Formats: sequence, C-alpha cells, structure tokens
Amino acid sequence: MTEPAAPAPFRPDALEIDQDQVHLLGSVCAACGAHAFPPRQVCAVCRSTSLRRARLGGTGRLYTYAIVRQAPKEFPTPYIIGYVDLDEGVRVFTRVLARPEQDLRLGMRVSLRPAPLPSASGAPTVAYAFAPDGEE
Amino acid sequence: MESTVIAGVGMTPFGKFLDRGLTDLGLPACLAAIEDAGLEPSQIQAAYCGNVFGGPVPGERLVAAMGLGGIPVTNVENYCSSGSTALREAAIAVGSGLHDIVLVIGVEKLFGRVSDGLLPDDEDLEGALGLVMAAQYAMRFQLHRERYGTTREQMAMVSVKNHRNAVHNPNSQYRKEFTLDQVMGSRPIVEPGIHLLDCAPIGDGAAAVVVMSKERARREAAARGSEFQPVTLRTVALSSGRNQTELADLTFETITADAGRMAYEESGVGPGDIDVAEVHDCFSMAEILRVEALGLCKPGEYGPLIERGHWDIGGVLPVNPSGGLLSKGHPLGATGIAQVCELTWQLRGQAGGRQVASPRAGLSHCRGGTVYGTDGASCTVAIVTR
Repeated sequence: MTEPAAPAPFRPDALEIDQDQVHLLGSVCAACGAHAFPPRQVCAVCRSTSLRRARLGGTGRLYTYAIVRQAPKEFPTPYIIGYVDLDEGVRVFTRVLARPEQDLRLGMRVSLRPAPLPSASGAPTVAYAFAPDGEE
Repeated sequence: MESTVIAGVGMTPFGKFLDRGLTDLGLPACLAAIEDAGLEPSQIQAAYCGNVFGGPVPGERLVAAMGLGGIPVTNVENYCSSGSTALREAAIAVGSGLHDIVLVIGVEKLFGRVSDGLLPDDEDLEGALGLVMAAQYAMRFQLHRERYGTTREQMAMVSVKNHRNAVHNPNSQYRKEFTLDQVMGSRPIVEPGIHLLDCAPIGDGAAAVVVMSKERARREAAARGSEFQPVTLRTVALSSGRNQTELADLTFETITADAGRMAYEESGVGPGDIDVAEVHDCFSMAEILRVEALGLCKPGEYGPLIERGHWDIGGVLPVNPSGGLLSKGHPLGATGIAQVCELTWQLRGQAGGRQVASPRAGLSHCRGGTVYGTDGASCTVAIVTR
C-alpha cells in the first residue's frame, strides 16, 4: 500500500505548504533591500546577485482583477484572477477567491490562502489565492 | 534609415485555411510582394520570416519553394511582434549596406492549433495560474475606467469602428459591420467588458514586403522606365518589457511608450506628424492603451475622442483603417507585415474605399507576449513616410 500523495505546491520555488497554510516565497536583495516574487537570482532593481530567499507576508490590497468566462480546457471556468499589491510593496499575480457576482472593489484588503489548482497529470496540486478579508 | 524603402507589398486574405500548409499560405504573398516591387524572385538576396507556431524553419521552406535556396534566411519569433521584428532585421541589413534587395515574410496558421484563447508559457507564473490574454485587458479596463472614466461603450466603439473600416478591405477576415449593442451584447469572454467582439479572432494568413535600398530601388525603377515614388521605411524600433521594480500604473503601457519614443527619435518623425496608424488592437481595450502610450493623444483622452469620430477614416487621425486585428484578423507572425502593407497602400493612395485623405506619414505598432514581472515581452513601432 502506498500513501496517497501529499498535495504538492504547483511551484515549489514560489510556494511553501505548512499544515493547512501556504506561504509565498520571494527573495530579498542583500544590497538594496528590494523584495521580489517569485524569487530572483539577480535583483531587478540594482542587478546584485546577493539575494536571499524569504517568506513574504500574506496580506495586501487588490490592485485589479478579472472574471474569466472562457479559457483553455485545463482551466475550468469561471474563475477570478488579479494582481495584489503586498504590504512589502511587491505585486503578485494571483487567483482570487470570491463569488463572481460578489462586488470585489479595487483597493480592498485581501489575504493569502491555499487554493487547489487543476494539473495536467491529475495529481493534487496546491496553488495560492487571495480572498477579501473577512471572507472564508 | 532614410535610405531604405518598402518597394513592394503583398498579402493573402486572412481567414480559415485548414487545407493549406504554411508554405502554401505564404508563397502567394511572397510572389505578390516581389511582383509589386517590379522584380523577379531571383533578385532577392536574403529573406527574413516572422512566425510563432509553425515549427522550425518556415522561412527556408518558403525560400526553397521559390527556388531561391542558398540565400541567407533568418527566422524570427517575437510572438505578435514576430513579423515586425523580422522587418527590423531586414531594415538593419539593408541600412548597413549588406544587402540591397531583401524579402520579409510574416506567416501563421492558428486554426487547428489554438482554441479558447492564448496563455503565456507554463514556465511563466501567470500562465500556470490561468492568465488568458483577454484578462490582461479586462484588468486594465477596470483601472482605466476608475482613473479616467473610460466607459464600456467607448471601448466597444473601437470594435464598431474597426469592423466598419474592414468592410472596405478585401483582405479582411471579417467584412461585416456590428452595432454598439451587438458588440456589448456578444458573449462575455472575460469581465468586465471583454466580450467576443472585443477580441481579435484567431486566423491564418500571410503578408510579405520587399525592402530595398533607396538607391537600388531608384535604379530598378529607371531601368523599367517607371516613376519612382518610394515609401520610405524610416525606422522599426524594438523594445522589450522593463522589469517592473515598482508598483507600476497599468493604465499606461510602458513597453509601447518606450518603442514609440525610440521610433520618434530614430526617425525624426513625431507623434504630431502621423497621418494614419495601424495599432495592435488584439482587444478593443488594447487600442485605447496603445494610442495613448504612443502619444497620439493624452492618457485618458482616447475615449472622449472616439465619440467625436477622431480615429475614424475621415477623422483627425485614422487608426486601423484596415480593420485592425479585431476585424482584418490576427495571424500572429503575419500581423506586423500586414500592417506595413496597409500603410504602404495608404501612402500610395491605393486603399480604395478605406483610403485616408493624402497621408504622408504612417505608424504601425505591434506588442507581443508576456513575461512575468515585466510590461510585456516585445514591442515594435515602424514609421513610413512618402
């Protein structure tokens, strides 16, 4: 008997699973302090190669979003995607968890949570999403 | 590059050609451009081919089909800017004096290869999470609406205008007018605001141009005893998307502004000199963002101006008289070359029912691909003058 495979992060370099929580993995530049997501090897601000991996905080504001009604078949529709500006000053592309008809507002506070992602192999894959604060 | 000319142009109608291969599709465009230049195929010294999804060596296959095997052939992939990037390579080669007669081809077959929208590569975080291209423009529309008051109706008017222009273009994939209500009532693809008729269709097609040195073109015209009224290729500027190291304002397309600024500096032709423009309207919102980023109006002004007919064929600055990508079609690699065909016909006064009144300077713009953390992958701005 083999154990059912534990859900794997869709991008191990960019996402860490810890119990039922997820954390975004980014990088911080040792030379200029710039944060980036996903992690970089060369700083896009100062081009330094002295970067260290770092967990990023999971809170920010919804910069903009869109509700996708038609997509290639590996992505069941509808789903919501958007950009979130993390409190560290990094913009992150993300799934957004909300009902499509719900009134999302640009600039609203959102926070990070795990989200299942369809994968071509059918193996359980975990990605991340942001949802409006106060929503579960 | 004032010594480089567009000597001949040709294209196939854009549409759905499931029964024709890439070479079958491209060959008529190549031969039409060579004939339009008043040349024989044997005079072509080098070829440049823009293509995205056709697999390896499409340019060599076309050159062999013309019996020209042996000449240098360069294939160029830069997503939607592939054809226009190939044109840039050709212009550099002619401008440098390496060659004086070269062929530039753009060719693409999308039917049977692509359906339900295009995504970035899987390696790209946005692609892995389902960022269909249409969503880029829905997200930017939300921001533009909030910042400038741009309305859904103004965005739909882009599609109405470009479909209306295409009625007069025999090479257009669609030649049918749509009302504002039909555009806004078409099936939602991505909300807010990007409906079926706000999206360029997928399509198959090919376009080609012959680029020559002005001096060689003058001699060839004299030898034929024909009048020499060249369309000068002033520049093809190319930019790549900058790393967004700050929280960028997505109502302004920096990659387009960068290519535009380079093109204006390189050519000495400014945005105020442009009489006609072919701008990469892969989605209705895309035309708004790009016309503004090219400095053809101030940010936020596109919407009010379209209500006054400013961008119509009879307006102050006609944009996409060909029908644009929205109606003429968007076979990716062919798009940038087809735009230059249109500008050439416009500058020569050969554009029939969609002719702009006496244009002297034309601009074409392509923007292709996405790279996570940047403002897009590739962007070109070409400027031609009479």
